[in-house]
Amino acid sequence: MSILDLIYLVRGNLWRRKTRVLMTLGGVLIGSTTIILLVALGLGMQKNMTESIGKIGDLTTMTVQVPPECTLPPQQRPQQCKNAILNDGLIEKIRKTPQVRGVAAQVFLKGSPTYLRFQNMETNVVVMGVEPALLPSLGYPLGRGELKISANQVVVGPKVAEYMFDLRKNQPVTPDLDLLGAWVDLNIQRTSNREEADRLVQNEVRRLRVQVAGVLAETGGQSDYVIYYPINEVERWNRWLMGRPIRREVDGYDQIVVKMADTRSSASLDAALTSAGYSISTARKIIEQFNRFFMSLQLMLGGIGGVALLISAFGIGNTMIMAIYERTREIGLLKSLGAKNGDIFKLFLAEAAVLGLLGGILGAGLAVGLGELANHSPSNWFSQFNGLMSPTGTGIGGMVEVAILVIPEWLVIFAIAFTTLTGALAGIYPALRAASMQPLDALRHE
Amino acid sequence: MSMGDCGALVKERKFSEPMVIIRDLHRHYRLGNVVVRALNGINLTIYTGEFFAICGSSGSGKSTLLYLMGGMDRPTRGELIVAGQNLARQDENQLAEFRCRRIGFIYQNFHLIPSLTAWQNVEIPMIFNHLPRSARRQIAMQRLQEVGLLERSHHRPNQLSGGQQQRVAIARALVNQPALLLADEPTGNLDNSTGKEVVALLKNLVSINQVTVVMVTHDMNLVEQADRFVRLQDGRIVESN
Repeated sequence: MSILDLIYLVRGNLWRRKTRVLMTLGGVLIGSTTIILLVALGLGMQKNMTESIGKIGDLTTMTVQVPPECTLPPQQRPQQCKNAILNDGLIEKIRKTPQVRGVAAQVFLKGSPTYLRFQNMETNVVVMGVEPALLPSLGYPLGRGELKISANQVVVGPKVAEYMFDLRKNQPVTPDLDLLGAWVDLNIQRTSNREEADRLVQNEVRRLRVQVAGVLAETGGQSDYVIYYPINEVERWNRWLMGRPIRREVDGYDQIVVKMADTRSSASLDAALTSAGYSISTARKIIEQFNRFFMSLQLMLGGIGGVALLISAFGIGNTMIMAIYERTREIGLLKSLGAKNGDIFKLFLAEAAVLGLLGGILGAGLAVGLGELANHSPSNWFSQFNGLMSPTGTGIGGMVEVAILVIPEWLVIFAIAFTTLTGALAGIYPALRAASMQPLDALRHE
Repeated sequence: MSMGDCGALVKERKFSEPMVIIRDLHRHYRLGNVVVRALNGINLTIYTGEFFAICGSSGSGKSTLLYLMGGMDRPTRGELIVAGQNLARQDENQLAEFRCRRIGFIYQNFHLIPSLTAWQNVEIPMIFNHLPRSARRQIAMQRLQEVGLLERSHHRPNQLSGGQQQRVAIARALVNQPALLLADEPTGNLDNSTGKEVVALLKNLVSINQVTVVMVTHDMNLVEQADRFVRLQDGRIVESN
């Protein structure tokens, strides 16, 4: 019996039991829709998250740091930290690695919090000591102004003053400031213990007046919010902030930023530095971690959908067993007309599989339709949810149209294949029963 | 006309090739704790081209014998050779193949599939005989024409009279050109005149197609039209000619 003959017979058999077939299909439809929508929700979350992380850093940029235990005071550090120091020697080694496009040491200004004061507005900022001329080689090109700066000049990210606090009005504002060329104040503060004084804790504040000499181009990453200050100046102020001299050979830099030519070489440098005892963070790594999380999330969501499909599999099995009871005489007849056991088995298995297939197709259609609806109606709760999902907290519900349900083709094909397979599996037992009936007994069945 | 009384009708034997050879055939089965001896040592030879009748009261084993010849059931012991094949030694697939190519069945209650049209019912045996779709439709239509139902080919069984349904069943039985046609009370569900028409048609077709016919019947008119007959009682042949 050929596939076409099978389809021909199955179509006739299903068509004559329309009501029951439709009810069975309803069950499969729900199962298939549930699986697709749940997995699509997981995929949508993953996509949004991945895109957001992708903005934080270029996939080929990596940040080299020492493990957390190596930032302890020198006498408390574990033994292995002696070899993991972020010094100029390491920078030289990295610079000589093939495929390295740029490498630069970075030191944070330790006065936390550091405030940027401009006119009557204030915001807290991250001040990073770096060789500003190296910024473009790290993937942070200059937008306007200059990178060659003197001691009282800074290069800022374009969004440094995006959110500020208006001290006069006493409320947060989002001024549209052009800081290029402007003089701003950086307020740093140190807390020191003075036992000889009456007050045990004393706060000292210093105001650094600096001019904005350059503004970086917007990259969508961290650098948009950072103030870059010459590394020598940062170190000078760090000495004051910490109240002790900094020994570069022992303490090292805070971090080294490396820009690679491609992700493959980035991965191999990552592995080399990790085995040397350094701690590497890259956007790629974060994405990998999130992917692991989303993989298990999707398995869970798919599992829930699978339960719905399992229930519908019992529906298919039930429908088929009913069909076999009803059609016992017909099975006998078909055998008397020359049907082999294998033919009967194929016939009933194909019926069950077709129930799964049709239910899967209908369910996929419904899921795609619902997905379109959810993704293209800006005022519904999905978009609100989307706003909450945005990791930077800047997504505003209803304003950004981002797909919350991602239904790729493979998911639809997989779901249909899966329901078909489920139908066929549910049909095995009934089909075996039908096939193994004795022809004469079946024919004489009342 | 009493049931089971087949009458003594002697006809000239015109044929010599055996189609069915039965030697000491037994068919026993268990019904609860009782062993029922449905057939208890049957010896019978049926020749090619014969129009053969098996009669007997209900429970005499005549249907059991018929379905054994058709490979629908297996003998408990004995020899059963039909169309040159020893049916006692065939597995289920071989028997299915045998039914498909060698046997045509006609039933008392027609056994047409209600959801299929007349020509689709006729088509089914050809599906199992692996005929291509185009040929199947053509042959089915031809067979329906032979039984005079071409204009009813697209009707479903419930739109046909009993006689018409049985004619569709006859077309279906002959569609794979079987060697042996087995009929189980073919006129049992038809009124007298329709029954006669159907039998006349059947006789006509089998003589054209060179088919051997074995039928089980209560109907004396049918038995009278047979070339030969046997009468069964309690699983044994009690009368023959």
